Amino acid sequence: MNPVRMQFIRDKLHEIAADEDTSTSLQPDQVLNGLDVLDVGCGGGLLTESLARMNARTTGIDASKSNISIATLHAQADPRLRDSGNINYLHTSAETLLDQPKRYDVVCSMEVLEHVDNPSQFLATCAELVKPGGHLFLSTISRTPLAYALTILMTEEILQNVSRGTHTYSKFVKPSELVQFFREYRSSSTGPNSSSALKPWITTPASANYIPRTEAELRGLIYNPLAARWHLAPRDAWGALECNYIFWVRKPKN
Amino acid sequence: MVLTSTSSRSAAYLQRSCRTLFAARSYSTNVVDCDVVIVGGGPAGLALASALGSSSVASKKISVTLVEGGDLHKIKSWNPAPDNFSNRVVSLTNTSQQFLKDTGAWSYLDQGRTCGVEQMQIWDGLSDARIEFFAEDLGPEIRKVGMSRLTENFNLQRGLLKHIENLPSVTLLDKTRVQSIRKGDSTDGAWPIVQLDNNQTLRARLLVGADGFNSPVRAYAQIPSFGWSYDTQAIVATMIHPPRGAYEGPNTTAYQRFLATGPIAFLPLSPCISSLVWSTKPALAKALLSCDPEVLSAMINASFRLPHISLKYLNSRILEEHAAGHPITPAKIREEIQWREKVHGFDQHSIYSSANAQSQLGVASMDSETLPPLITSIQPASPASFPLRFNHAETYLGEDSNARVVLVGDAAHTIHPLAGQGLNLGLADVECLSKCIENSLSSGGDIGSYTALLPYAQERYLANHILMAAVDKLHKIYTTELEPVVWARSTGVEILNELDTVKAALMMSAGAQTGPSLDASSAGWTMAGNAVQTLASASKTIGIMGNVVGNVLGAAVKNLAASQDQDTPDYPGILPTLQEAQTVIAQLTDEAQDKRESIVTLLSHINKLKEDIDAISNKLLEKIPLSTACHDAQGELWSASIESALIRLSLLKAQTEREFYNHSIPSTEAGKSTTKTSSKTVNQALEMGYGHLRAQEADMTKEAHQLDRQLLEYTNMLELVEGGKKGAYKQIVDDWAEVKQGTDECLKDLRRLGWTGD
Ligand SMILES: Cc1cc2nc3c(=O)[nH]c(=O)nc-3n(C[C@H](O)[C@H](O)[C@H](O)COP(=O)(O)OP(=O)(O)OC[C@H]3O[C@@H](n4cnc5c(N)ncnc54)[C@H](O)[C@@H]3O)c2cc1C
Ligand SMILES: C[S@@+](CC[C@H](N)C(=O)[O-])C[C@H]1O[C@@H](n2cnc3c(N)ncnc32)[C@H](O)[C@@H]1O
Repeated sequence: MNPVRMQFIRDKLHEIAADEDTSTSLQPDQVLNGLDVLDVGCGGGLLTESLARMNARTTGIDASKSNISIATLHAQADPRLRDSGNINYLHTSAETLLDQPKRYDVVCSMEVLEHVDNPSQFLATCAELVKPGGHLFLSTISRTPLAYALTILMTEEILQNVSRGTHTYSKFVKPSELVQFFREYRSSSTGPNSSSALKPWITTPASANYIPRTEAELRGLIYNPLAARWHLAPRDAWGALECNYIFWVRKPKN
Repeated sequence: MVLTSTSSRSAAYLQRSCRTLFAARSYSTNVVDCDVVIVGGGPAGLALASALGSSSVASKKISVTLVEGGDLHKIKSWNPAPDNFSNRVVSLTNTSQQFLKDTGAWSYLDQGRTCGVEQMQIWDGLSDARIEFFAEDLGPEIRKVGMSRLTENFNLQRGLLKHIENLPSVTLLDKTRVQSIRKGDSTDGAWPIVQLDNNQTLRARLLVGADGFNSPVRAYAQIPSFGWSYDTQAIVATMIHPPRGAYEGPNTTAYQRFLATGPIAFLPLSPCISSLVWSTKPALAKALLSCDPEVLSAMINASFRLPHISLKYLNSRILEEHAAGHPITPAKIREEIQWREKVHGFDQHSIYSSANAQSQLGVASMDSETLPPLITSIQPASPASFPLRFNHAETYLGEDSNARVVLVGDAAHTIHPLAGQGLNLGLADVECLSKCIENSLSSGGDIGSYTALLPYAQERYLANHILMAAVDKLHKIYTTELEPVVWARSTGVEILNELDTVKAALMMSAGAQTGPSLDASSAGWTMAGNAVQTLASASKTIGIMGNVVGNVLGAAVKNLAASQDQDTPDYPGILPTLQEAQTVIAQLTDEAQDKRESIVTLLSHINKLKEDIDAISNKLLEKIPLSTACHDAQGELWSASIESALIRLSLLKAQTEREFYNHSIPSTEAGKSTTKTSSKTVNQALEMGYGHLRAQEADMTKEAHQLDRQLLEYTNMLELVEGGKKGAYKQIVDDWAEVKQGTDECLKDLRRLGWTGD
């Protein structure tokens, strides 16, 4: 699923960059060059490594110490990553990292939301870590009967592949809930005369079934077992958000 | 590019372009980290280096190191006289050329040493069934460029080397052999470590096996391959002939004649020079190559012209003399050939006569373009021969502990050259792999990872397999000595159909100038493969019919005998007629019996073929998750074979009917006035037999309907599973498959990372 997630991140950033500077000659594969990127809950570092290869100054954090050591070892084996100095792993939680002043151009947190106990607080933490005008990417599983059947019933109960309790249905966040969160959410503190503190990240009202393309986007991640490949559902594909999905939202500028 | 041969120089260059790890990492020697290590500087390996080195994405992000055992300097400075041509020649499809144009390599080929093919003439040596095709039929674009372009392997390799010279991200290490490959430490990612014979050691993020049929890389990655060697050698040679006459077209027609011993091909290179690829029995190849080259040129001319029976005789003469220890002389073979030509009534001035070989005629005969020009001599030292085989790796990617390995070109697959596709497949691999690498790079992927390489294997494996299977089946059908197939071929009808599908396949490959070319050409090859299968099923039908014909005639004869006993005293005039009828029928019975027997042999041969094919496709199914398109194609394939089997059945029915009536007429006429009873009996018997035939036909129709129903069920099931129709069943299957595969993939990643899932 990693190539698809990276493709989404890359293309979305490129789309926004091209929106803001129509004369830009920036290629999609250069769009992460030199950006400060944070990968929250990096696990073994699959996404972190890809971000670093795209020349982003990447920090991967994870609450699990063993995950951080595995990720570090793995990156060490890759001479280009090692020598680029683009990758930096920290054993810490998102909440703890918030105490530090550093904020990021891009914050990613893939497949983490469904594991946390307090999703709103976790979302707020991630949002705070983003610089004004920066980007937040999340991927997770929706709370739908289909998601339940696929992820919990099948993997944990029937196939018994994943240790029980890895996923809890009640922790799954629906796409609509994510969107609603960023309609209501206001950044707490981004400086004395910051206007972004007041602006919601998504400005359309809840009654509107529409999210502006420049503020947020939701896409389904669909696995095709015949091709053994993940692919990104087209925008507005019906039913695509039923299970795995990826979400992007942008923090308002100052 | 850096072209180095001596180890000290190359080490220095390597250090500049790659980073070095030191002994601290438990290696005894310096290990140089590389991104892509290509083993093999054949056309496939060089094309990959040139594609990656010229890609705007790849050249910036990765270094390429190519290791070749042979001397690439020699190829790079290859500078033959304009009228001297190497014996190794390839036909490059427009798709292959387009790829080389896209990378920028094509302009480095000496265009004067390439020849566009504007026409192809393909015919069967037994039936003379012939197809011809013309570039202009494929539209104005193809008309301009030709159906494909012939050139020497060296011209291609030299062009690629010149292109690579300007590519800074590529390092070539030639006159350097790979000694061994081992897996690196697991703490260090277990990347493959390549030990060279110049004491250098390379650590590869991605190891590419472009190292030909005996691929050491494939062996390292423990990738099994399946295949067999054809009992066939390909003789290659550079042939010299007079230019085409003023009233003929230019020398831009490729010729191929399917002989019982294998196809012989004439590939034009320049007005007076063409290349030979002659697949034949190893013993004959050996004998021919040990003769005076004049014998070879005489036999080439004869092999394009003389009927099967004479070639068989000439071949046996050559083998005899060879076995006796004195190769046949040019004078002797010429004498034999001329005698044979006389026997066959070839006019001395016809294009068929080799007497024309030495004389140059100003005016061409009408059909001169149906045959290649007569060879006058062979370029000295150009004759050589290669064993031919079929071989397909079971997968193109190393897995688990052999990760980071990928195969391209002949290392992945080797085929019979009769369709001139071997290297074209290799170049398609290279194009696909370099696109795949670019894609991975542009989203921050690790180009050595399974995830990054999987799309390559998925796209190429099936496409290659379809073409390979078609070419293999063609070879088998055309070279079998089994009587029934030979008989089927001699009727010409079957073979024409088949050649037509070969034509379609070739046309599609040739016409695939732009767009999703691979689909078009592999559809063509699916058809060609299918047609061969149809021939097989038709022969099976013939088998059943033969059986019926035998029984019917048996019954007719019995009845005749019975009626003879009764009728003779009353009607004395009937006896000769009856006897005549009896002989005719006995003859027919014998013939039918013969056919039947040979058909039984054929059936077992075909069943064997089918088993082979089934075994291969099962393996394939295991390795490659089938796409919807492939299922559809298979469905179509089924219905097409059933349909054509039915059509053939009715054709056979018509033929049998005609035979019956033809043979019943004389006896009826002769006995009109006198032998009412006997003719009645014969007719009754025939009617009875005909009834059998009808019953048999009804059975077969029933069977066909049943197959149709099965097919329908199968299609419905597929539809249920694959979408189209929405339904609970589809949902369940989909969901289950999704979960299972998703979990597998997830687990694999997790295990690889040692992640416990907390
Ligand atoms: C008679 C004949 C006619 C043909 N006609 C056509 C045609 O018309 N059209 C077509 O498309 N194809 C044709 N082919 C097929 C075509 O020639 C091959 O497919 C093509 O040459 C394969 O290229 P490759 O680069 O994959 O492998 P190869 O050309 O076999 O190259 C492999 C290279 O690897 C090197 N190597 C191997 N082991 C090591 C090692 N341990 N260390 C270092 N280097 C090593 C070898 O030295 C060699 O240079 C024909 C083949 C034959 C035999
Ligand atoms: C399913 S894994 C995701 C791995 C990785 N992001 C990927 O998609 O490949 C979830 C990870 O999130 C980490 N995690 C959960 N809550 C966290 C938090 N608040 N801060 C940092 N990491 C957290 C867990 O330790 C776990 O490794």
